[in-house]
Amino acid sequence: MDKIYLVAWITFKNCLRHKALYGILLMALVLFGANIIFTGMFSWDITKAAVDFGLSTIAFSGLILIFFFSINMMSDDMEKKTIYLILSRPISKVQYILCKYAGLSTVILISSIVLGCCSAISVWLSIAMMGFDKVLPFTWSFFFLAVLFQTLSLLVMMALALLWVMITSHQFTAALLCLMTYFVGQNMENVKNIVVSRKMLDPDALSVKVMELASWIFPNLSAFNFKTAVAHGLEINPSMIIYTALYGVSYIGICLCLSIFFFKRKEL
Amino acid sequence: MILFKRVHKTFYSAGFRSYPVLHDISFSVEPGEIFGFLGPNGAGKSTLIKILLNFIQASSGELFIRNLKIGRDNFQHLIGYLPEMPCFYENLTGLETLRFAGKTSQMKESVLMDAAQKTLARLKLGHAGNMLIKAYSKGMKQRLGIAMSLIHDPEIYILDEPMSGLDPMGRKLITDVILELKERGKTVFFSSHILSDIEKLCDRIGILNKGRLLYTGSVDEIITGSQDVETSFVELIEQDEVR
Repeated sequence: MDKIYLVAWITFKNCLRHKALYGILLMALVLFGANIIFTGMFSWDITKAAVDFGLSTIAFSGLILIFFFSINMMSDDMEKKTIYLILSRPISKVQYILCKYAGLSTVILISSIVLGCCSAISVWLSIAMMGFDKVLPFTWSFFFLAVLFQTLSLLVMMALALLWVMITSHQFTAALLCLMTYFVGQNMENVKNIVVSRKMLDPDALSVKVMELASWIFPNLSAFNFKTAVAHGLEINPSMIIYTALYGVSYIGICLCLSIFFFKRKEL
Repeated sequence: MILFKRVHKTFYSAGFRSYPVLHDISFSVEPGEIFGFLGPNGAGKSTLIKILLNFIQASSGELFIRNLKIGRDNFQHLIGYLPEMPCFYENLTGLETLRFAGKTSQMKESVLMDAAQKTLARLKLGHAGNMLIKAYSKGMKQRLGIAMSLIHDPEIYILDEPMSGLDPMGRKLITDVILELKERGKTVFFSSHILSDIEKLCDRIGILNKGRLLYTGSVDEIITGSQDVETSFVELIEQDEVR
């Protein structure tokens, strides 16, 4: 446990001193500023616009953190062989994967806390400038719940990024595969629903079966999206919260197990 | 102390073409010995060291470090390793890196910081302990890599090209460090291209060419009839190329 903490700590510290991290956070702050200006242009659905923009900024910044920062950090270990200095110590490959994920996830978690607070401030300011009487019913607890699930979806993406790095060892290829997984994961549920509800295809058609299979392999990232419910002040079913959290944690667990499986067979 | 038994390694490309890189390598390094591993570029020296450290797996054969089988037993606590071109987390300081190295090797906090300061000072990096590694020169990184292998005072040192990237002063420093390890009865297994260093430091050497071990034995034996190790080394490689 001590060793897991040590590698996670140096990964975290190395990331924290990286200038790119502050560039990404600065960009997010600018976007939150834009949220206030942008929402001011609306005369109705202010809450929806402010919440949508605020949560999307967190998602966008988190994805940039994963694609251009975390993947870079992970593949540098393989390409520049920094990994030799870790694995030549009494640290196993399993510990390395868990440490790496823990260290990078801590960066994502802290960024999400900072961005979540900034987003809340930008939403509050946007609403306050228009007057609280003009907004739809809005619950802050649901807003922070949406931020929490946004973070969980980023942690799922982080686990997938780690898996792709372990499979390919190559930064660009891993980023490309991760991006592909993200787009499929975001849209799979919608496409499947459209095809099934409109009876566009025979339920026994091969393409429907392939879609069913793909929906089990790719992460259903739209399940973590509570933006619409929060923006419209809708109730969120507690069982859905629990199932979604379990789904996210299980998906991360599977990705980490697969990463360990591939990493153990990898020639470094 | 270190034993290689009939080690073979073949790499496979995506098209399933095979590239044999090591053929039937068998030799041993005795306790307290300094063993130099020589060979031209691409001979397979680094591959053999990677197999010894379990970074890659041998296609066949067995390797042991103090009777611990590589790939089955944990041996990392016994060794200090320097990669050919050491790369670090560049946003950490030298002291933080050494602290990590010591802590992972179960060193106690009370002795660790003192040992880290002394090791840095021994490698003329005392002034740079609190500097971020990204500000280090190539030679400083090489010396920090040596410091990482020394910090926990292991029994066995595996050094891949320890003199590369160092100026004459740096080479003299590392030569002195290796000689100190020899005096203290440590086992050192290192690869190098610099034959004068090999001649100065090693009890025994191994010469590898195109993945085949051409010679293992003492430095004195190989220079019999020749002027120096360099001439003997070149002659041996040329004879092998003609075959």
